[in-house]
Amino acid sequence: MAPSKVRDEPEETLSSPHDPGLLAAYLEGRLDAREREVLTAHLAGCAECRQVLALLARAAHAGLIPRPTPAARPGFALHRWLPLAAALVIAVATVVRWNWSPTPFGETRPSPAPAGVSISPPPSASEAAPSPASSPGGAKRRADTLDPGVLVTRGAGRRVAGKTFRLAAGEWIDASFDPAAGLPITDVNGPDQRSSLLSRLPALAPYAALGERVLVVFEGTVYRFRP
Amino acid sequence: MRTRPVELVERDRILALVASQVHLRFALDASTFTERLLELGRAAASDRPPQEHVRRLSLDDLYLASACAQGEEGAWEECLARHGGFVRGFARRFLREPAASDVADQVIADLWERRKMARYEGRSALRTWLGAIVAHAALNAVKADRRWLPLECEGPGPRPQEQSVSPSDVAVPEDRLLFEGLVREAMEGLSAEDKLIILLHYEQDLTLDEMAIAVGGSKAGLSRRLKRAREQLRASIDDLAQSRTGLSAETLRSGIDLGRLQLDLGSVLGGEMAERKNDGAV
Repeated sequence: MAPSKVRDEPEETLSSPHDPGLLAAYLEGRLDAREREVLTAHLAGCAECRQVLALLARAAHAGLIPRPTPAARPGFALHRWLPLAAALVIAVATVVRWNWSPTPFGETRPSPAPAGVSISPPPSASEAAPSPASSPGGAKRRADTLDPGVLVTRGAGRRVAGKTFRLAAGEWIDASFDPAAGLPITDVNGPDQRSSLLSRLPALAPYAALGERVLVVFEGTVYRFRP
Repeated sequence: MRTRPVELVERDRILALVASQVHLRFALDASTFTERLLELGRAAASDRPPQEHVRRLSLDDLYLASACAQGEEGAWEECLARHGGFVRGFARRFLREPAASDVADQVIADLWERRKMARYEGRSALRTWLGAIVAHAALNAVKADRRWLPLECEGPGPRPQEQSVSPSDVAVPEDRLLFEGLVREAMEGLSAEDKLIILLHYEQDLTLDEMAIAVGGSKAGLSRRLKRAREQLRASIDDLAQSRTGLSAETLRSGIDLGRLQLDLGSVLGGEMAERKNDGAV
């Protein structure tokens, strides 16, 4: 069964009865549930499209093309549970906020961290203790021990030009950034380097506009903007 | 008080998206680009506001591609600077020279001279779309000329894609044909998702890491799912073998050269055989 939007492309190099745009969007997890279902059925029966998908997946694994962000890739079946999971997260967050609010949300602002600071704050002694949340009232005690600023910064996220960023320790970090991927890192220090890079790669401009400290993965390279 | 027509509201919302996400650097202006986005949004879904679709697009990439499609030299220069090397390198990943250069040149020529860049609709990153275009073109080149064997099929050992039975294989044992038929029939009994992960793993030879990229989900989740699908497939082949021949699948496959099966069932079932061997059961 062919996907609903598959088009004929009778000419030479782009000739294929299968839409490369849909396959690329599938790889990046950007189809809606219905489209994804239809294309999955098509892929199960079409060896050529499977081969293209496999080649793209290898290229993404090698860092040649953008890796899909986990947020964009629910995977098979998981999308059915997403609404329930989201509701659960909101409910838990509401309970935690009601039970514990030394500072109103939104008032605490992370201070810019010095260069070289680790992205994730290290766990406190109480966090590292064996399963504090597993005992009755554990969740409450765990919330009490956390720095309120950490909760606020961890909760802050922004979507810009197709990418999701999280604010951690004063730095906007691309959610697709995987330190283990070993991608080349380009440091962009100061306004001169920033404007030089942006004139060369203007597509980075929306991400750089997030702030002075931004880490973004773009076309197989990690760009680290610093003031 | 008069309300604004819906079309104008939609247009304004898309204009706002363009203003916030696109660096307008070519002759293609925001208004003209917005018209294209409106068209794409309306074509994608008639029952939803077009901005819902537009919001999910890679707008800056789409702006670049749209300017290329309009024939703007500056846009094409930027596109080549950003993606030209990738197109050539990606073709070289799975084609020999001079085929790789021929395919890359042809793709680039088609995108520019024949304005095929206009087919990019921003539903993925431009680079991923270009990767899909190059991969399709390379596969077509391989089909047209078998000398251009994909390099990714080469390696220390034979890969499943190479294990297909050639038409010149005249002595095809009847058992093997029967067994292949059973495998295909059993595969049809799997859900599309299970069938796809089985094929990506055993036919396309993707690792779990690569499969997690291809279809999403965690490695652990995919591993569990793959195991379940393999067990279901094996049970189904057993049932079919019993009902058709009165023999177990194990007996039927014992006389077959599994390495030459079109679908590498040796891997599908062999994985379990190896596990059983480790357990001392075989």
